[in-house]
Amino acid sequence: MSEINLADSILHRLKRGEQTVIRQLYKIAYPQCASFVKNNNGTGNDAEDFFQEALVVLYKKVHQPAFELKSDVKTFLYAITRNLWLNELRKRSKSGLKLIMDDPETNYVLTEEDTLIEKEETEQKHELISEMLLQIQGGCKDVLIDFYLKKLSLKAIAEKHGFTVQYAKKRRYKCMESFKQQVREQHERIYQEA
Amino acid sequence: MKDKYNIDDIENFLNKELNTEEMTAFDKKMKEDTELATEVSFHEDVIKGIQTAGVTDFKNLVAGVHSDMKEEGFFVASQDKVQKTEKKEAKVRSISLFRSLAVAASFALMVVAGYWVFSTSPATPEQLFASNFSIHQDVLSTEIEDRLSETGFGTNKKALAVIQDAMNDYNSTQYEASVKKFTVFQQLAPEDALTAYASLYKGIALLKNNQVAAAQKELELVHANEQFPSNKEAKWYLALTYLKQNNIPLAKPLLQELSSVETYQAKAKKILQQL
Repeated sequence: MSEINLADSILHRLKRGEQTVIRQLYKIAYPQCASFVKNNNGTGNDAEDFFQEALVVLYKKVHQPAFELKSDVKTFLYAITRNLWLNELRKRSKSGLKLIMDDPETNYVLTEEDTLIEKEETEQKHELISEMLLQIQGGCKDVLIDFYLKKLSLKAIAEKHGFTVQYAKKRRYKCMESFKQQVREQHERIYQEA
Repeated sequence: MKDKYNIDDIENFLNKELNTEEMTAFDKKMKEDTELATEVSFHEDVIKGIQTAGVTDFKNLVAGVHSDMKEEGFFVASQDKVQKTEKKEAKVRSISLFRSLAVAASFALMVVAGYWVFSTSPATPEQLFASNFSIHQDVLSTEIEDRLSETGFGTNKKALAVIQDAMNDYNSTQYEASVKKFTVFQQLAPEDALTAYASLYKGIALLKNNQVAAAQKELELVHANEQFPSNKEAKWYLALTYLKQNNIPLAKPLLQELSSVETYQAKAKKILQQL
């Protein structure tokens, strides 16, 4: 498989939230990312924590319609981890430390757009709505996430959940209507707290 | 309660999937109808909430994978790798250390090779069938219940009641009774989207009851339907049927296809190694 095809396949699988691709990303990119963190005043635990955060950033990015990977996945994850770790170092008031770039070839510079998502903070009202969804029992949570975040087609949703396509379409409507109703009932709490 | 406003209209507007004229018209409508404007903003918040929940789900998934890999010693191995990289400049090494490492590595290799030979040792197709066959979980009852509780969705309530009974029998391991009811459903509602599922579950029930030729016929039929959402399940059970019949030439290509399907990847690869 060519590098481009490999990257496409990884991103496609990541978008669907496949567990095996997370393992693959650890194997491909973790050692180098960990090396950077540890060489720059971080501990093993820091490396593990910040690599997890980098994976989440990548996950958010692949769901942005305009996202286009301009390097290979390993380099991109390295750049995100580096950025996150440098921000953390600044927070820990350790700026001015000498940085050791352990692999100059991966010196990928993140664009402003790349870093934007790291700064983006989720609004509290969305957090509260999210908490409500995460507490829902049954299949509605997954159907809504598959449709609204992973942007799976109704056929793919049907395939994943063992529905007919016609029913997948109906279920998505019913789940959304019923979830909106639940949020409406909690409307005051959500919008006052937020 | 049904939404007063159409979800598709709101989402087409939010996703900018309307043409210029439609966009202008929708904007105008929102200015005239403040309730609609509020609904659009509310709908957008709900979608963002769902997306936030999806990211939280993913974080939990990563944490789970991380914890599994930690248990497997991945991070210790990575640390060794990092340390080796850091120390690659230091070329002087103690010979005795190198030797003991080499001995340890050879030993590890022998253990791994032994495990590999053991874990991939050939098994008969019948044994592979026995160690891999399990009943497919019921993913159909929710849909059947929903359809039965509604009016106007699916007209054939009698047929739906039959497939519901068939699934109840299937779930309570009454496979022979379930096969009969699946057959009745197929006759009552040949055009229903659930008919393909009836064939799948019927095929599995037949296989469980050791009626292998009948299972093969049923599963081949449903497997040929490429539009069937559970086609990969049909493929898996058909491959197992061929194994049960000791028909390796037919089982192998199906298992090879399943090697790239996440749900069946590991199991299919392992069977192929053992064949």
